[in-house]
Amino acid sequence: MAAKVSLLARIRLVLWGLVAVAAVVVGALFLGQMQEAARQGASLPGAARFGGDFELVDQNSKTFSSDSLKGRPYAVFFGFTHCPDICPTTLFEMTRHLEALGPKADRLQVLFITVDPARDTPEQLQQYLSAFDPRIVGLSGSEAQIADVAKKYRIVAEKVVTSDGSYTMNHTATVFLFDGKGALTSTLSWEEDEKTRQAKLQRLVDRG
Amino acid sequence: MQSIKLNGVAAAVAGLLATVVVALDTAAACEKHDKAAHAQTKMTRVADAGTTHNHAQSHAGLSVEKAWTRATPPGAKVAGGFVTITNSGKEPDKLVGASFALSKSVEVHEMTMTDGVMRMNEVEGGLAIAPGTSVELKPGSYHLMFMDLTGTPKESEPVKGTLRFEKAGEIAIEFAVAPIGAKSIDGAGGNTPAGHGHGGHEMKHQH
Repeated sequence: MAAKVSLLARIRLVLWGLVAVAAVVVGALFLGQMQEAARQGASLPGAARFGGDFELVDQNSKTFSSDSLKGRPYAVFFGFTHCPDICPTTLFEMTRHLEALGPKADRLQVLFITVDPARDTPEQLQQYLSAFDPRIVGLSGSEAQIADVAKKYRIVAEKVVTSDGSYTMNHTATVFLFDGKGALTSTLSWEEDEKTRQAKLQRLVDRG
Repeated sequence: MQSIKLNGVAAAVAGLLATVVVALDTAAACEKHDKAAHAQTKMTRVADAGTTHNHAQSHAGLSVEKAWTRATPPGAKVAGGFVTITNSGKEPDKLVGASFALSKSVEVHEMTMTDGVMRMNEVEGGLAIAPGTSVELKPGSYHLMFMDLTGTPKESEPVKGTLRFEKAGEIAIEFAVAPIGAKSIDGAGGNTPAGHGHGGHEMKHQH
């Protein structure tokens, strides 16, 4: 009995070993393909469905049209100023990324679009954004304009009433990276480390 | 593409192998199952005995440490507060409320991130702190939501507040203020406030 079990155990070990080897091979092949795709500068699958034209108001109360983004890589994310954690943190991180990009940062347009236009007037955005890199453009507009942009960028934005009668917003927190042709090429997630995000932005400005 | 063909072959081999091994494992697991079931019954009984004992002791209390918040951008109306609560007692307790010297009210919220969507939910009925556990309110998780700021938290200027527990009552704390964007009390991603090596004020509360 004991000998039989140990033989079975040995077979299992060998077989699992083969599974592991095969898995590594599959993984390596996939990775190779992905890297090749990245080198060729491919945009993400379904990229054409993301984004679109819009006209909003910036923190200086000036009209901002998506036309001004043409030919320039840009990073866009959505948030609101009544946000305790992720919005100021993302703004802070984008400030640091811009700093780290050095002179190349001027090629990149960074947009922060409010999902709470009722409270985030251009004046409120101007005050709030004064703590961050001045190159970050804050955008507001009418409820309808914001809803339209949110739809184009596939953004989730929903109001949640709090017990003090006020409200907070659930929203997509991803930073979307578009190249100079207006195609979605990558995203930044706050779960990623700073180096990874910086490398993605670096690639974006290098590619243009 | 040749690599796609290779992928398919390799994946098929891996799948086939895995199926064989899983079949072998299932047979082995059946044999082990009886033994495991016995062991589990024993463990449950031990745990029961422990619980009965606990009722005889009063809870020793909670300790609260690493209370911190961040400096806010100008015009900010809300801020997040973070703290680590340890229940070294024998009875469960609940964080049911809090106050912050620079805000009109405080709520206990939980932030979750699913598929890139950040969601905020008020923790209904208080945040449970089970005996023998530590709950860390931290960025991206449970946090205190300071609503309607009446002043601006400034870096290195600690702000007074209280935490209110169902059983332990009110505990006074002081929130260290880290820079905007800090991910922890040590100010990762920013400078540590001078003279606040680990910031915050550790306070113990005994009953």
